[in-house]
Amino acid sequence: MLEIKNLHVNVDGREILKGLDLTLPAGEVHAIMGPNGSGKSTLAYVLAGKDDYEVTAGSITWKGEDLLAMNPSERAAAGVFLAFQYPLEIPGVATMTFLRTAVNAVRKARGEAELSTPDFLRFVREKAKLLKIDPDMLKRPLNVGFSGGEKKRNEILQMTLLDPSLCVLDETDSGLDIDAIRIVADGVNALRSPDRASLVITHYQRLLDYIVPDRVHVLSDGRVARSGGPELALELEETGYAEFGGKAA
Amino acid sequence: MPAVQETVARVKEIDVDKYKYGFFTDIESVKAPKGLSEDVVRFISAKKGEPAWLLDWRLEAYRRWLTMHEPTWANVHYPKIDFQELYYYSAPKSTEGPKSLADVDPELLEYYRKLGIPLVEQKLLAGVKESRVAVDAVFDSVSVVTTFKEELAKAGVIFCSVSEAVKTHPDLVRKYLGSVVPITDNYYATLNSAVFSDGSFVYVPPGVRCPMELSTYFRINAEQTGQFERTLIIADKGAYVSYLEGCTAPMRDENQLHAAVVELVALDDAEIKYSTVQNWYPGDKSGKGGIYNFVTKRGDCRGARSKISWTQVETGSAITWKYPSCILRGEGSRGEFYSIAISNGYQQIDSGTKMIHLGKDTSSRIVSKGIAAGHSNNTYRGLVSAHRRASNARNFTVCDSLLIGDKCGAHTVPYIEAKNASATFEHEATTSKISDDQLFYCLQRGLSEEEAVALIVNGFVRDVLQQLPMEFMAETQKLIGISLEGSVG
Amino acid sequence: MDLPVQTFRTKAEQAYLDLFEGARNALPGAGDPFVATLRAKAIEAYGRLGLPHRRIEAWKYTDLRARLDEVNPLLKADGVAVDDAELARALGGEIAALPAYRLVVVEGDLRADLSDIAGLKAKGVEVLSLGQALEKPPSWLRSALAQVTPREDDAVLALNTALMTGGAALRIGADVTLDKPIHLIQLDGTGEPASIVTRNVVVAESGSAATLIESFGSLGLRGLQRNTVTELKVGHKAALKHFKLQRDGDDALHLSTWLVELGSDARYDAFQFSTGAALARNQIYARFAGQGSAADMSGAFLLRGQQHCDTTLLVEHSVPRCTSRELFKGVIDGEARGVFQGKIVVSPGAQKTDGKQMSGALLLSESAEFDSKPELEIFADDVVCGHGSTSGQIDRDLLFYLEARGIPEEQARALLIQAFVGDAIERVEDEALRDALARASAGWLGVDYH
Repeated sequence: MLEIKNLHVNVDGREILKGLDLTLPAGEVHAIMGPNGSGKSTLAYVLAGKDDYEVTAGSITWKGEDLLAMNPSERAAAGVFLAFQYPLEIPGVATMTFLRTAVNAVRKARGEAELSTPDFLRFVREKAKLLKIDPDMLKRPLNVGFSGGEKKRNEILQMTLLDPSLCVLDETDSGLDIDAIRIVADGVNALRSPDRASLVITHYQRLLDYIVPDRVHVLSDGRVARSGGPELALELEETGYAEFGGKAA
Repeated sequence: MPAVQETVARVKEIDVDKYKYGFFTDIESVKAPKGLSEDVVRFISAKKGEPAWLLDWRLEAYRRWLTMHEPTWANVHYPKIDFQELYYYSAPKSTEGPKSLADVDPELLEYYRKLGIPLVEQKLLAGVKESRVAVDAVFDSVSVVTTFKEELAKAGVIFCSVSEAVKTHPDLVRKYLGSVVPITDNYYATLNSAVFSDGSFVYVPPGVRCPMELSTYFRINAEQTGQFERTLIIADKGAYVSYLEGCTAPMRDENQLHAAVVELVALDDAEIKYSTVQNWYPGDKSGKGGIYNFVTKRGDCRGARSKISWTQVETGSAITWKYPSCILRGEGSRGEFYSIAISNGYQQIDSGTKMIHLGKDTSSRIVSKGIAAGHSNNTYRGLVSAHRRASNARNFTVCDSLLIGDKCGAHTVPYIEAKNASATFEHEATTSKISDDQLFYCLQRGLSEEEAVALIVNGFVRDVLQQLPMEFMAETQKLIGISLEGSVG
Repeated sequence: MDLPVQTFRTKAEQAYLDLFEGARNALPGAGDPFVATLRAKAIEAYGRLGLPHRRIEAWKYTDLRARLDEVNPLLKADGVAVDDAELARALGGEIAALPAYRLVVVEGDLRADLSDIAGLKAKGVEVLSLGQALEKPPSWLRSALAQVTPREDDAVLALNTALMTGGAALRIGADVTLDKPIHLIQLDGTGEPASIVTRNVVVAESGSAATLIESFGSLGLRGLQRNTVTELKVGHKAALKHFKLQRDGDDALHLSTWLVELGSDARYDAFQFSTGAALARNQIYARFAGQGSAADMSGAFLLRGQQHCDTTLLVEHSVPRCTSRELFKGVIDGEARGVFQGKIVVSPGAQKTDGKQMSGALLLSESAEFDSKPELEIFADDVVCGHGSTSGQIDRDLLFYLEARGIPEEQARALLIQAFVGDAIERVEDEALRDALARASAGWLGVDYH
């Protein structure tokens, strides 16, 4: 279970999160919505432990452990996975090399045996197929020259391979057409399980047609302004974020 | 000399018909002997009624100069200059000019016409001495200048000649003169320090945004710029000033060697924008004559978060040797250099910039566009360096050259020195010719080849053009077309 | 510009003159007028130029005169024994194990006992010990020696010509295609500080295709001062791949010059990989002498401690329709200093030239330094030329991305460094060699290679 209490975060000396509280029980999917600048992406980065995001007050615990005390790779080993809004391109690192390095690093940290090369390849190909990822793509440098949809599918592939217990999806739907959204959503839904929790950050309700959340939280000015069931997302679709300090869509 | 208060006062005193004599006689009667010596330096200083400290300063520079050698590293070639054959203090030519427009070289007039310069200004620029018109014109500009002056005074901005500032604001001059370009700096800057004639002085007090573009354009109409111009601009804390030098019209001058020095000082949060359009006489079709333009321009971002931006359009002179630079000393300061350098005929340009990152979080940007045509040689030479303490220094450089014809040369010589791991430097340069496809496309749409080239070149330099003050953009676009005439076909 | 005549000489500058005077009559080819004249002219040029220093534009960032205090005596070859284990130690196991025709130069001497001269001969490649060949150079050697892209202004090259004692001369016959690379292994010796001055001459005749790997390593000699020159003539339609793997001793001075001349429709691919020596200067002078040729000159250098490594390239497009590419990547740690100078010159009339150059450095420590000077000098209009240069530290966003995937920081950094260098290593087409280079860079980083 993820517990965020009174979280205050500064970026470049400016306070972005101003006392955010959130509880995400295992087995549930929660959506985080909100106008631009409300702190959605900041929350994602803070969960993953990015530098430059200075926590000035509050706490984040995951399965009872202090997440803030861990560095990014320790968090990943502890099961935190962030699907980036803008996945980075790394020329010179083949996607397959990257995947194997990451999977084995995480397995090692979790006290599991590293996968043999044939086992690993089989594992990746199987998962890639589900996400309609061309095996040739895996030979190319990580995300270099990938289309927007390919990058996002690659993120979901990594999520599948790393077997996280907390999935954070940061605007994974942005820039995707409806077919791509469906593929990504299928990938996410396939990972739903009683011991896994997900946080789906999105600006639009659209994605939530495919990934139906248990709860929806609306962020405004660095806090959770309102929480509700899936119907809250539909309501926002109607009314926009005007009441939360955002411009009408 | 100058300036404006003085000028206005004197013009008011004298009768219009006496003006042309009255105004100049006093200078013309005194001419230093040919050649350079300690006596000549003393003579210049005495004529200007300078205080002892300035004379000492000039003498120190002169003595230093005697021990120095002309730089040979630039990619320019010219016959050796005999420094004893030059005059270091002489009056503007007032008697040798053409008597009317009919006496002026028709090619020059055609040039003015293409630039769209009004007739009155054409006469001025060509140095026509037929008095009435010139004086009217002077009156015109004087009146403009006067309004100007009043508004500046209201804001507390000091804008006058250096000579005047030496008298009226000696503390400021003494504090800042030579503080950016020391007298030991380089051969030509040292020479300038010994014999500088005059130039602009600008001081913008703390927190003041200078209400208008300052320009030498007005000053040129009222007086001749000297051979050894010296400009000093200081933006005090939080101040802003934009300064414009030169004009698009080709300037005739009898002095072949020009060795100017420009010093800029920006204190905390201050910003200086310095724009130059240089179109001195480039020499004739066979490459004879033409100005040697050996200029030292440097800005010191002395204060935190200060910013200095150089923009230059260099189309004139036989030889240009010029590297407007920024010393990024203040934390978070920023330097910019935008340049268009066009060479045609037998012109030689060796120009670029230096961005010296000394302070933390400093950034700089260089955009250089060189166009070589005819038999010319066009070199970009630039230095970007980050010193040990300049953590997080950033530079981005783009340096593009365009060649028109197969008799010219385009060269790129950047020096990139990173002594700090957190410095991020990116440099890219390309050299190419105008694409045949682009040219064909334009021709098919009915443009002549020259029009097409002008159009394409203007596109090529667009990033820099946008940095120019609005009123200069249109003129400069025309100038680019004219500078490239005869380069195709 | 007239170069001022050198009047004052440093101790080391004078020492080279003395070294030459002392050895003059014992140097190979002393009795051959052609060789003796070459040497005499070269020492005269050196005497005029002196050691290069920072006021010489091409040596702005590597002040050899200031850095060189002593000149060590020329090493006398005494047939030191070298076994496979020592080779592997000197070069790195992955490099020593490359399948190839081996030619081994130890103490400046091409060792017949360690070299596969017969194997090469059977394939149509003539191999001579330069030391022996200088006594009476065959005509093909006479027409190449000190005549490939000659330079008047290079004191290091002049010293090599004056003092060269050994090396290998190779003639790859017309239309010969080799099945394996030629691996020219150049080791020092053991014992006291010494200078090794070697010269290799390679003539790749028309239509030939070969790979030449030059590797440098140490048997433990202290204070090595190496001056090595390789001259290459790549003939019409010939294709030569040329590698340099430099792992000289930690305290070594490594001065290396490649002089390359390409005939028409020729292909030259070079790659230099440097991790060794205290002070290294890698010069490449390449000239296109025939139309329709292409060259790629790339490399990587990995530096730490107080190492100083300078790569200086000059590519002369003297004729139309040639293509050149350069990509150099450097990783600089500690207080090390990397220098890259690359100049592309396009002569008048050399239309349709296509020249591109990139250099980049990754600085790993606060005190690391990278100086770069990419230059274009262009006198023809119908060309496409460009260069780029970058320097910076490891991208923190990339590092975070990897860490967020569970890769610990140290490992993530190593991966990014390997990727950075790998960008250049990718240029190497030969898989075994590419793999060996990737392993060598992983070895330098102290990480496992996958």
